[in-house]
Amino acid sequence: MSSLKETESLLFELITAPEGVAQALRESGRSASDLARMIVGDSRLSSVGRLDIYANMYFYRILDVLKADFPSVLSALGEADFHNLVTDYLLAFPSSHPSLRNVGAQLPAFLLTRTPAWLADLARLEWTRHDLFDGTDDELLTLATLQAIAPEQFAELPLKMVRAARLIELEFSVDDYGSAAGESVEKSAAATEPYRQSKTVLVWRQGTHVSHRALDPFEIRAAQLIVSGARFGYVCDLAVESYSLEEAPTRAFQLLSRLVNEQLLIA
Amino acid sequence: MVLKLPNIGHGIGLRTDHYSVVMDESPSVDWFEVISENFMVEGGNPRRVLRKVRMNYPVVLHGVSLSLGSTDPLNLQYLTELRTLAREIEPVWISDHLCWSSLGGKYGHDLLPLPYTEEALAHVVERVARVQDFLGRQILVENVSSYMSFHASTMSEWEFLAALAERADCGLLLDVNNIFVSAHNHDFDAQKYLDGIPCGRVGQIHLAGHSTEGELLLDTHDHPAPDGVWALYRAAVQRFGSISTLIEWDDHIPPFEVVRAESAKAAKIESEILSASAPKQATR
Repeated sequence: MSSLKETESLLFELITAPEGVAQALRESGRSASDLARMIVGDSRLSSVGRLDIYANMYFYRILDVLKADFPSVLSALGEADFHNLVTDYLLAFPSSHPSLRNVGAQLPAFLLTRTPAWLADLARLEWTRHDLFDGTDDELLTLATLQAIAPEQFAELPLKMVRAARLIELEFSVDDYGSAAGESVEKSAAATEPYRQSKTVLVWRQGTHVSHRALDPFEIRAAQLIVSGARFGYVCDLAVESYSLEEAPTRAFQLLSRLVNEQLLIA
Repeated sequence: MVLKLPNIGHGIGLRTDHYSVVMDESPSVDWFEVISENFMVEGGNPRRVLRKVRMNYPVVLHGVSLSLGSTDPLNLQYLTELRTLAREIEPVWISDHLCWSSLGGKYGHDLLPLPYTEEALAHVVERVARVQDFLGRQILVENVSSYMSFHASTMSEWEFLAALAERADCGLLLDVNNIFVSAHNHDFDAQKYLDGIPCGRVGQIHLAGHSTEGELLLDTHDHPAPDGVWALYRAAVQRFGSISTLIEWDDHIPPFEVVRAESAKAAKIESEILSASAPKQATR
């Protein structure tokens, strides 16, 4: 008689096998009769058929979650190729977290081995958006708070990015692609294929909605400063480096105002 | 020790499709059950919704990933996050399933049945006791629907549950639909199942719909509860009396009013049965 551990080990191996229970039994040198000695079958359904119910549920439950988490990757690949991708992905990266929410965490890395090359970037953008949806809440810096600050004190204003924000480096123009850019899946199907273009994209949650946008060179350096926790004075210094002396103050305050409006700064 | 949980009436499983109705209209519902894992996140809309709902209703945490029957070590990270959520939300109780869903650190995200053996019983009893110690409260353990059973089993599922409740001093969440589905799939008598469950251990009842796949029934929670499940619920009320009861609906989710009507139907049935006759004094 098998121990509980042996029973669970065999069943988990068979349920998570990509080609179904019967094939997995053959590949492991076992037979349907071996399984029938463990699991009760009857005239309605054999032991293999009964275990196959669980095998199908395992795969399709995860497939459905990944379809929801990566709608643009799904749209780019189509149903059949996405199905095959998930089959291969689960072999390489079986789910290692109790929550289905995290089952797609390694898909962007897995896609680095696949073509087209931009799929990995697209998946990374979609995963980041998914991940930040329920990221940590922070108390936000508001325009009212800014308005209460004396002009001479602005340089000392500490700036800190909300925790539900992330800067990601992309090699392709996937931030404009299909539903990753907020378009419907139907519209994204007709989207132009992403091209090679290095970008730094800011992804963040604003209320209940996750947004992203590519940053210009000044914003990239400012965002990097703010992520590490800088005073507004440093952003002003950066503006002086990036723009003319006349233009720099306006640029620095425009950026501050935009970041506050986009709910990107902590109070 | 016996189970000491309040009867909080007739509730509904909170689902994202109904967030706006529940948040904006505060509908008349006794309580909500939420899937623990959906709210074991840092923040954002899920936690915002849960906090708001908790301000207006009693809430119960119902988990799917505790993997009480797994031979893996208990996932302490998971338990810590669950305890943190419980401390914030103060649920009326916490429940999970009599099943295993993980092995070797990998998760199958399903509710896999156990062989009902003394070995499995001792294993689950020990884990339930450790979980209860960690959480500082009794938990409810739910019977799952199943499509396979084991030649190695030396006791029935209800005998296993009864022994588990007694030895681990936990409560039971009796899913009437799961009993109905498993009774069909494994050819046992659902009434005999109910009769084998000790009355003082049942803290909650689940009701749901299922679907047919070939000659078996699948626990899909995508239909109203069918007549057979309602009939079994009547039998459950006759045996256990008034127990907190919840409608689960997880797929093809209808408008909130449809789910609430199912909950009202359960309340009406309970009321009819209890007013017709006092609950039978069951033997343990």
